[in-house]
Amino acid sequence: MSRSCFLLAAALAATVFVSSPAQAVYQCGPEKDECICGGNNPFPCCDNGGNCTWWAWQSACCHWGVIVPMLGNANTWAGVAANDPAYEVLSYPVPNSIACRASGAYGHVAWVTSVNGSKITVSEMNCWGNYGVRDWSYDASFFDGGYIVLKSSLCDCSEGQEQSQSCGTCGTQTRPCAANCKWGDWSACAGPDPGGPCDTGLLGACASGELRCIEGNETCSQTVTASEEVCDGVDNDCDGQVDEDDVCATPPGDAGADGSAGGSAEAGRPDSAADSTADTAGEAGGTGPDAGKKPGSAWAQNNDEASGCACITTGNTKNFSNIGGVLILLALALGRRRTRSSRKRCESC
Amino acid sequence: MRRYLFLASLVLSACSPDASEPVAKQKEQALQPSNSVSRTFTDPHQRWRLVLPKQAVVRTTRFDPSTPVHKVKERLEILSDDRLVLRIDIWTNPEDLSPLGWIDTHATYLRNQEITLQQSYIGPENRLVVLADQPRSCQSSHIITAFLSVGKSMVSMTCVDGDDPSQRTIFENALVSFAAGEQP
Repeated sequence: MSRSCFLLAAALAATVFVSSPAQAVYQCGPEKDECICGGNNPFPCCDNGGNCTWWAWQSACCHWGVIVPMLGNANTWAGVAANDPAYEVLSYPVPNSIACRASGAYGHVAWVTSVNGSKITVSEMNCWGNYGVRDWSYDASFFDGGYIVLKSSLCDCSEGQEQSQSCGTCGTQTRPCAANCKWGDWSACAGPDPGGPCDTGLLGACASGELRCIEGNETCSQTVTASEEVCDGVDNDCDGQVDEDDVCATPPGDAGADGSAGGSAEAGRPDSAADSTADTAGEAGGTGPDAGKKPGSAWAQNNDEASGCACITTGNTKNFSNIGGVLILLALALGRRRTRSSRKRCESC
Repeated sequence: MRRYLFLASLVLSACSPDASEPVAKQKEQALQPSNSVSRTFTDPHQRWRLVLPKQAVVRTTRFDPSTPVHKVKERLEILSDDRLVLRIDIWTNPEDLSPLGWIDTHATYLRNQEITLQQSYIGPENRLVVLADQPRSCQSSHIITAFLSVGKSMVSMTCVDGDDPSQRTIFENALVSFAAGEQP
């Protein structure tokens, strides 16, 4: 182990023995940290109710509306500002700047309120005396660290600048610097999808999901939607039951093999077979020339013939037996609903 | 106090070249704050990765890349309860300066009688770090700034109050993340 590592570790451990908390405070003397600039004053207040750093930070917050990046003793402020793109350190005083004295163990900072030749007036606090905030005149040369100015006191940002911040559990949002050198609106919170399977908490096939970042939050997104139950050992319609409603019963087409009435008309309609048989095959025989070709229209025609009721069938239920495979099943389901609808209307008339 | 001793031992274990545990495990332990649920923040621009407490908010600001070398190019601010707890400044380092060389060239304000500079090696890669330690004073809280070179960048991390254990933990975890060269 290197000696320096040991020293670093020892320094960290020793901190507890030599340090005591120095908390930033909301109020220093009579002055309160009430200006809005996006953060709280990080500086402590001395026992006399004053502190040059607390007041200079506060003045910048109130006048510039920004959090200045300086954090340490006053004699480091000009150096920190010089490295910050948003600030410049001038060698001459200007109003609304932070005057910095780099000499001395800690230095001094103050808010410049006016300049008159080589004389300046500042608003300041100190860790000594009991005057709170005072206006005081200095010779400009006293502040040998220079004068910190916000590059554009009217601007929050410079063109081309972009800011981003984390949001939610997986997201980031950004905002551009608008042409008026103010921050634009934050974009929606978004982020890359974490990916990977997850459980949506839904039943059956609908439980299958994938982890996605939606509006900045990790969300289990459903990847399978409910569909008509088919005979496949899966709960397709997500109702907690697998292959229910006899979907695995005798395959369509076998129904007419024994020559029973209506077989051809109702083939492939396992759900509606009973209803349709009662309504159509029983009355129209299901063996007529139209049977098996246009069940919907056949039913309507036959019904008209039987009752003389001029019913309107709104559903287009033809071509049940003219298409194959899955389409047949879907059409049948649709036809079943519409046929029932038509029947109700007929019954009412 | 236990907490500080733990952190010290953590640094020791990370520094030790003859540690018996696998490097990956060491890294994982070092990156996980012991008392909080952490989340991984990935800077969308520079591809830094930091492990932070869940409630922390990270604000990233990119600055004009054409500004002089000494001007910060990107800033990450970690806030907790609306209070700045850690600031990470990133510069381009075209001259490939060492951390101390950088301070002597671009951050001379740290050459100050109240600030102690200490070189150290941390993380499984024994990365060179310079710690600038400004003790608590009447004017300021205890400011600790770490400088380290990562790739083509110079990085400084400033702990806003080194006497606050929670802030100190965030600082140390972030420092280990960078020192370990964490990339997403």
